[in-house]
Amino acid sequence: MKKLLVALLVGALALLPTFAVDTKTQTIKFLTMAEYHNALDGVIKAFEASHPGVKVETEEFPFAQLFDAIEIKLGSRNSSFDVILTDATMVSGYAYRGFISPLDSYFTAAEKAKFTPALVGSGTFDGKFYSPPLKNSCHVLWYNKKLLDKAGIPYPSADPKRRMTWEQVVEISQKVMTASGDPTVYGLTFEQISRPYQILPLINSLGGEGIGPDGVTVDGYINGAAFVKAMQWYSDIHNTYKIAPKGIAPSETVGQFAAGKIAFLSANLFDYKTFERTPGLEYGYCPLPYFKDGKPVTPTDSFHVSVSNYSKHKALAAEFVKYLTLGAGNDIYLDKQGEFSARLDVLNSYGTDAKYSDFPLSVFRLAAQEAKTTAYPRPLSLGYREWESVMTATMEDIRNGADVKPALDRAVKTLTAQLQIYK
Amino acid sequence: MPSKRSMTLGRSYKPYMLLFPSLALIALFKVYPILYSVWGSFFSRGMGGIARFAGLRNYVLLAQDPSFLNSVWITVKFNLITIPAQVVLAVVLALMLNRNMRAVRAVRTLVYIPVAINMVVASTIWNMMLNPTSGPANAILAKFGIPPQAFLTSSSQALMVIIVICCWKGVAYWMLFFLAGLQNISPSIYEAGRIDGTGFFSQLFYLTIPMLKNSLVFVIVADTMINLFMFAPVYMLTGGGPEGSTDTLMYEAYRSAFKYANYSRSYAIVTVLLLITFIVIGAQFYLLRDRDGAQSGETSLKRGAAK
Repeated sequence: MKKLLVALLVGALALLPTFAVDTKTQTIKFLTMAEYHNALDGVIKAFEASHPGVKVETEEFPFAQLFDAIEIKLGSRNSSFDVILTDATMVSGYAYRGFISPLDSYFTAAEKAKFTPALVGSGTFDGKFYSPPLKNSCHVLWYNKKLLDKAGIPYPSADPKRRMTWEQVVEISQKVMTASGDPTVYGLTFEQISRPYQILPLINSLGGEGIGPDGVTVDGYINGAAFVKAMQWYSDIHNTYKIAPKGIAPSETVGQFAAGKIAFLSANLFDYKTFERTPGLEYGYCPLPYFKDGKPVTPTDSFHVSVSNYSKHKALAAEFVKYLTLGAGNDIYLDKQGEFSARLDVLNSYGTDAKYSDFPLSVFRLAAQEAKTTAYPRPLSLGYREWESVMTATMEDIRNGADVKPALDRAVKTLTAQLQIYK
Repeated sequence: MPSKRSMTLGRSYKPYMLLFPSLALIALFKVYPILYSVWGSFFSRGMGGIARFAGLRNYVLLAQDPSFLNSVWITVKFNLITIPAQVVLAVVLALMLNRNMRAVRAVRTLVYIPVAINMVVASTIWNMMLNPTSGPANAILAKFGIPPQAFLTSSSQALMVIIVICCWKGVAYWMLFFLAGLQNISPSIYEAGRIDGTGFFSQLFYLTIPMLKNSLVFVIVADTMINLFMFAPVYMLTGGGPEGSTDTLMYEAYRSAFKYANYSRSYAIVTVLLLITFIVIGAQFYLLRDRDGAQSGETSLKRGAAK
């Protein structure tokens, strides 16, 4: 019996330091995206090193499931999450539903002024600042040099003043496909096929809008002349000219380009990291084209970071958010992920820092210029999830050959009914 | 020695004690969510996620919503084709495999394999096979000179493809119930039928199928419930498209809750789906009831012999 008591005492003493550490450690949990794992891992390690006694855990979901996961977790008022990766378009909806907490008391006016003003706007709802931007985004047109060489076509210029039109891209794509002699080679595709983020610039290029200024009216917008014309072109490249592949998902497009199966890919800047890792791929970039009768437009905005309204560690969570968006953590993230910055100081450095003079990092210099001249944010609406979901399905239907005007008219009827709750 | 009264009491509450764990779990995980959905369908959430009583507003909005009305039609269409197809195919398979031979036992196992495959895995495999540009299905069709098909990307084909996948996955499962039913039919009934001069079809329709009535009622009711709530293949393969052609009520309810965060609309859709389920299953029980109260086999034997 004595031996047992001694053993229990020794065991309890051995566990004591563990309990002692546990009571001092504060843990915050970050609901984030699996695709950012490596970059955020570096940020978290650095944050933990500079904040002894603080631990940051993550729960990660792939991009396709992230938004559903946030709706489920925060919709059930789950208090186990403190920091939430938030798409720019979702800030107003999450704030309206009470998912996220205002951060005005944690970010001074001077700190907010360090971000691109448009993105501060995206992170603001009803006059309150909820969500600082983690990064910005911009798309360019990547091209495969070998496929263009085979067709005897000169490389497009990277100068925005000599930007190609979408009509020229169709023409060149047809030539490339003929010259390749390979039925699995296509001329053009979009990284985020049929997702409004990437398809809207086509509409905006022709002067169209996705939704009215009230954030709920869609009749006359998504079935308006510009929208119909742009979507007809989107249908034609898949069904009439057949220069764009059908049946491949957004997750496959970058791989298809890297495998030499696509001549032109409209895609994000950070894809250069994948291309650089691909042996034998010879590629270049040029500014995103525009319609002959329209104006140059590029997509913009991206992910922000918010503090959950149900968090029990709001102050610490806000400190982590600041570290990740404005502090050293943002530098680590941008570098590891190869992302385009939402911070004005970094944006300015793209034009002056010598490392952005050479290919492929020179694409950031082009993007910085686009951000100032052609960037066009997505529409703001409390019902953006409904709008995006219906429009993604409609754009995919059009890609698969649905008649354009009837498909858009159906979307109008569906959205008019579903957005009524926000009136 | 325990009194007669305490023994009676012991007998009366013991079965309920044994049933209690199951009933408690059913109440917690089945009945409570159903009641919560029905209750929630009369509320809507506004600024700050605060719930407010909305009366029938969610139902009025649904009645004006073309995507909901389309979902009702797709659900009805899917069930009208799938349930008869699964039941008929399961009966046919059971009749073919109701033989005690080694080869038949092997075929029975092979036929059952799709049931053992997880629906998510099965859907992924079908998705790869039916890819319009790189899938093997179109490559096989091309060998026979048939032009490539759009399959899941065509609004005229996608629902049929999902029906085929559901049949492929479900038929063998329902077949097992019919096999069990067939093996419970006494050979003497067939023998009596043969003496009375029944042929193959009169034996099938006046002996076998009536004797399978209990299995049939169970399979039809259970199959209806499963198919009314069918979700995974739509989620995995089409997302309700193309052009809403596979947008079932269950998927619309999911989309409303987890994509739009409009829980009130989702609760209302689920309540409508529950009502449809009660009506359909009530009608099935009514139509399949034993009308004359006689043993169905005996009655049918008389009818078969009268033929």
